[in-house]
Amino acid sequence: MRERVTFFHPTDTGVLPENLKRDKGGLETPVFETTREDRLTLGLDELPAEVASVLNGFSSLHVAWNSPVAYRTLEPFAARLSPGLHVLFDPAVAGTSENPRDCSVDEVREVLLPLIRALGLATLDETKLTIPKAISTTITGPEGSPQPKQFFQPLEELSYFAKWLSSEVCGAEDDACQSRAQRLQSAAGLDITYDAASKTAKVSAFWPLEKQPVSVPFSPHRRTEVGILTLGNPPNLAPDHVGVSGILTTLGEKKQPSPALFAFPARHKLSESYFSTAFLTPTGLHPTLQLRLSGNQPPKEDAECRPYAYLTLPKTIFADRFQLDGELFMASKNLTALRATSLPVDLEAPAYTTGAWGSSILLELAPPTSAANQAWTAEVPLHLRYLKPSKTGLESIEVPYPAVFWACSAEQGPEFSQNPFDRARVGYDTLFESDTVFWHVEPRPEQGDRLVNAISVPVLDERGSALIGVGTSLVVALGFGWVLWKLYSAVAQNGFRDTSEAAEEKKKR
Amino acid sequence: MIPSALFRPAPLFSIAAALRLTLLVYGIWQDANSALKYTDIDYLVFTDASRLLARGQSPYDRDTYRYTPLLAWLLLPTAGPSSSAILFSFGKVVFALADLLAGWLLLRMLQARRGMTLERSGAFAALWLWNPMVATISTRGSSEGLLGVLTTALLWAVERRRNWLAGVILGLGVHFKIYPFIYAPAIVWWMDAEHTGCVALGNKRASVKDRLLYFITLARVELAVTSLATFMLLNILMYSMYGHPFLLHTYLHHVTRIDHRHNFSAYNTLLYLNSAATDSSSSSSSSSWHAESLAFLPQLLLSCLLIPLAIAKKDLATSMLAQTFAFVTFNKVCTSQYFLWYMVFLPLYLPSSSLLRNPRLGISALLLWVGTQGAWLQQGYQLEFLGNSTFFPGLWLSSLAFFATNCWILGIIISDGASDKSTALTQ
Repeated sequence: MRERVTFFHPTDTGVLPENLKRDKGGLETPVFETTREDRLTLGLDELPAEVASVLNGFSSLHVAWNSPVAYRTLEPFAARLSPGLHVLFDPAVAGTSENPRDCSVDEVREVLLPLIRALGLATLDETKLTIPKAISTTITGPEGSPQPKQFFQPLEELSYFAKWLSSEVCGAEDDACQSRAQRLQSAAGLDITYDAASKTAKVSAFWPLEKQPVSVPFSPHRRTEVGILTLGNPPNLAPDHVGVSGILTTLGEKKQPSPALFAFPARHKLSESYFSTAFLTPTGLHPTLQLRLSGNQPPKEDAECRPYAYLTLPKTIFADRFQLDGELFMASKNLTALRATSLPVDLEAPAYTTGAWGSSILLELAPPTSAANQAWTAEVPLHLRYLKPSKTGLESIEVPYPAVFWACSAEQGPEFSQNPFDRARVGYDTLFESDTVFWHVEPRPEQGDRLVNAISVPVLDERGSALIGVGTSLVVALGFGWVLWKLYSAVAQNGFRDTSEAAEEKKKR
Repeated sequence: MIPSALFRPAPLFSIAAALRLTLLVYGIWQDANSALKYTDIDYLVFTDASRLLARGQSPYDRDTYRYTPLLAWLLLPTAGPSSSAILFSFGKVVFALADLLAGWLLLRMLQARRGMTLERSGAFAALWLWNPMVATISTRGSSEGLLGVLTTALLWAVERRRNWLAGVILGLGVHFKIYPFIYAPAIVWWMDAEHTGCVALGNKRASVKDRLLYFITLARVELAVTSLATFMLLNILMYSMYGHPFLLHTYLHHVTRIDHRHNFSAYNTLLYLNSAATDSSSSSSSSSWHAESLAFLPQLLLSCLLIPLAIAKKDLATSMLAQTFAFVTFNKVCTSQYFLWYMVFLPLYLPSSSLLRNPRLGISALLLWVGTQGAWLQQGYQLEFLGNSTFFPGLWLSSLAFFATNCWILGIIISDGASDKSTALTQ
């Protein structure tokens, strides 16, 4: 078991080496403005047996959670996902190794359900949980490249996971572990990755850029590395690389913190622009999600860059992939094309009979081409599913913000996996060439700090239930009765044989 | 008033064709210049399916393609170069031509059977041929126009004693859209020895066995054999080519669909309510009685049994109109495209109708039909575009009002159809 705690702070703040305090082997500093990432690397044998056996069902797994509360960040922690709980995974290969086959939905459920239960990540109604096939169409991604299967569930905070960690993983006497679990409740991001080849799991939690005390307790149970770093620009920095300088230290060792200067390629970068989203009113049953972007200039001049929005939609709302077509229509929304969609997406069913968790789409946006920087908008037409009747005739749903980014081609195939802070398989990255750099546009709501949009969906008013049953039956019965009466009186009067002159003549003949 | 010379065949069809041509060209222009498309979404489904066919795939690989593969075959020319608006419009041209052909058959039947003047029968055919709703639906690319020509051709073939042809059209029509099966009992009932002039096997006034044999006319046998053979051959062919998805999407889908989306049907709100309720408490649902599960009873009783029995022998066209009207009115799902199914028979019914004889009755029926529909559309707009929860009571009440209006009109049609025709015809 290894632990790594990394602080990235802006270049104009920081902490002087003489202010670093060692306390019972741990590390403490005064409050300063910084981001923080805690990462735990565990072997399969170091995990609770229940979790280990669940992980055995995957060949690879990425559980990613992002907070629905807007937060600030710094490179290299630039990657953004729609707020909520994402699971991207490949089930352990079914069939023989020479003849692998796709897992059925049921087989996928069998591995995913215990995972979510084992990690206590969310309270899920198991009967409602069904797993769709993963994204199966790519345009910029290499043809036929396998895509991970995906699952998404809105999740407000990590308190379930924190409780589970505290009771199931940390020993009761392990204060360091307990306080760490507690701190998870203020985290803005969580990543759990598992790779069957190396049989290791990595758990990373991320705290956003804010004033916070640095406090890393020492634990004799594991080796803990601490880095206090800032972005730098070392000479001869290769393109698409991030330069880093600061100090590194290992808790429990007598050595003084050592200065560090290094660089690595970065898959995710921060662009300078920001965006907000809102539904145009009135929303009706076919709401339009408007993306409002602060700038139309690509983040990098010497590379080919295109803006994209990656939407993760709960099952209550969906995009019609057949509608998102046609040059004129797309151009009128400032969209270029629908580049990928998860499948299957039922285009008609109500939410309460839809099995899949929802859907995700990748849209290429069409920014105005003006040379001067200008704010602009793009509109995504969406459709609501019918929801169950409610007491008020309205039901509120929440739709998470999309991830919006510029995808730029890198200059020379960088090895992103060398990046110690790389965040891969986040849903959209596998849809692009592997050397693509994602320049993220910061989600910044115009009002409040929540990265979700609520819509009020009209549904049937439950108060009518009794009347609807009786009333419909009555009116249909009356209508049917009336027609029967007319039929009876018509036949009683005229019989049902043809008595017209023409027919009479025919008979005579 | 419109000068009666315009109802002569040449101007009648020229105007009908010009109307459709104008709409077609306008549609191409709007599609090319506006983000709001003239072309119906269904047409994109058909043409997508045709493109799949052209690439050797199944038309059912296109989501929401719920039609016979024949339709995708018919529209294969649209799978040509995607830039060609002319080729893309091929299907719309076919649907528009189907409209015109249906109008021509109507004209022939009006003249031949009802002994009308050329102008007068042209005026009634114009109700279909010049109907802007019919022309718009076809040129936007909805396939309902094909049903119009199939059902009029069926009636025409029966009246012309072309029993084999009638059977083939009937089999094709049922394969195409299921509902034309309701015409089978009416036609069979009509095809007695008096109407067909054929010899029956038995004697009319003898024993029960003889009377049963008397029922078996040559025409009835021909119709049964050819319609069943056509229907089954088409299904076997399609099944052998496209397998289970063909059965699933063309037929089974219509049995299992839950029809929860708002539409004109009186059952709609109840269906939405119950589809949501059964999902949440699947165990307790058996205890509650679902009226809509019996919805097929009044619908099929009226459209397949009682109306044909009462009217078919007297006036087959009016029987088919009343049957279709009943089928659509009592259906669990009802959209405005279904109205075309019965509108095609109106020119044959109206000449002898009390709705024309008694203008106050006719105008009241029209106003009620349009008014209750308008009330529903207004509530639907509130729901669909403004997001107001109008399911209850607004949409529900207006759908019931529309249903009641339709029942009242159906009663009038039935009375007219069953009445003695000898006086009405010669008017």
